[in-house]
Amino acid sequence: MATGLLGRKVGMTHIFTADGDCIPVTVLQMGPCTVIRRKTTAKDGYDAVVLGFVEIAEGKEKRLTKAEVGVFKKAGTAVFRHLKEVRPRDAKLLGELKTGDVLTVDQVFKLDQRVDVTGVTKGRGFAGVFKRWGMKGAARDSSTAHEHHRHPGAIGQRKTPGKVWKGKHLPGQYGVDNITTQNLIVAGIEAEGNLLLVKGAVPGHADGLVFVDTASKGQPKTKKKQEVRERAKPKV
Amino acid sequence: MLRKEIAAVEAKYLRNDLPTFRGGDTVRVHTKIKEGDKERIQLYEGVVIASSGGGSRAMFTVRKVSYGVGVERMFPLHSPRIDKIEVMGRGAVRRSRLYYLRQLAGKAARVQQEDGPGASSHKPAAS
Repeated sequence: MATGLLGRKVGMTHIFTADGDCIPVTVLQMGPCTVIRRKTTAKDGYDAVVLGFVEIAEGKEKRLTKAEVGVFKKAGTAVFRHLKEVRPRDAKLLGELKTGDVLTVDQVFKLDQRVDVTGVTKGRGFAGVFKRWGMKGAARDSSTAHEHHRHPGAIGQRKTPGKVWKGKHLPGQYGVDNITTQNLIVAGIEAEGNLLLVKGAVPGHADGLVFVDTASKGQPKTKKKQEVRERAKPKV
Repeated sequence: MLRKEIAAVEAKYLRNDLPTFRGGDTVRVHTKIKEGDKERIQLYEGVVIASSGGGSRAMFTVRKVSYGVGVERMFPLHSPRIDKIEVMGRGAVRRSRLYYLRQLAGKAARVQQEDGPGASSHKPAAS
């Protein structure tokens, strides 16, 4: 089984656990994704699968180049809008997957596991240093601060070095970056509707394309965590 | 607009065993409190001064004056930790958010009850 899937961000809400805790979740509509290609060590040097997401209606392949359509023709599958290569750490995880297989959320993910979510962040345009770098600016209401409020402050030294260092935090384009949020917890899976609920926020706007993969930092060791919980319990 | 996928997720957490109430009403909220392994019910009674949010995210704020100190507590309406809500009285108010009560004290801070002449016919739900 592949370790990740492509999907879309739907939006946020919150849900209640059995204990009554209220947790914020992001609703993601994941897949179903079709395997377009199975890469193997023998042929490609490493093991991976290429997944396709969002089928393109028949007759609309004209919008793609012949080379792009050729990929799907070779695979013998429908034409898809998005492609993503998923390369698990352990090749055995891929098992018997072959071209044409369809993967759904409930097959790939399970409850309480950790995942990494990759998306393109919301565009903020040309942003100032407050929003872009979290700077505090100058006094809001001082007589000496004439038109100097949301400014970055000093940006260099003196004759030495006599220049502004590269990478200095200044205003500029902010957002529309590929960002991965690591170690989010899967709070719910709904096979019907292909929904995945992830605890916390996810990069991007609603309807934005996201890629959810099994956490690269690995899963927490459950046994250890239980011990910690036992210790943290109040002695009644 | 609420997306249908989110509405579908929230539908599972909606409670339909709660009475309807609005700003100005006096409610008694029974909340489940966990202490160690034991669970008990705690009561909190006051005037509803605000409600916000829709679906399973709905919240309401209850204000009371406890030993001369104003206390406001917000509850998630659909929380499983709410055992039940009793509506003790309906208030006759002209706005949905009664933040002006914070500025008032004593007799002035009371909400006129909806039982005098001209009051609407709906009765407090017996829950």
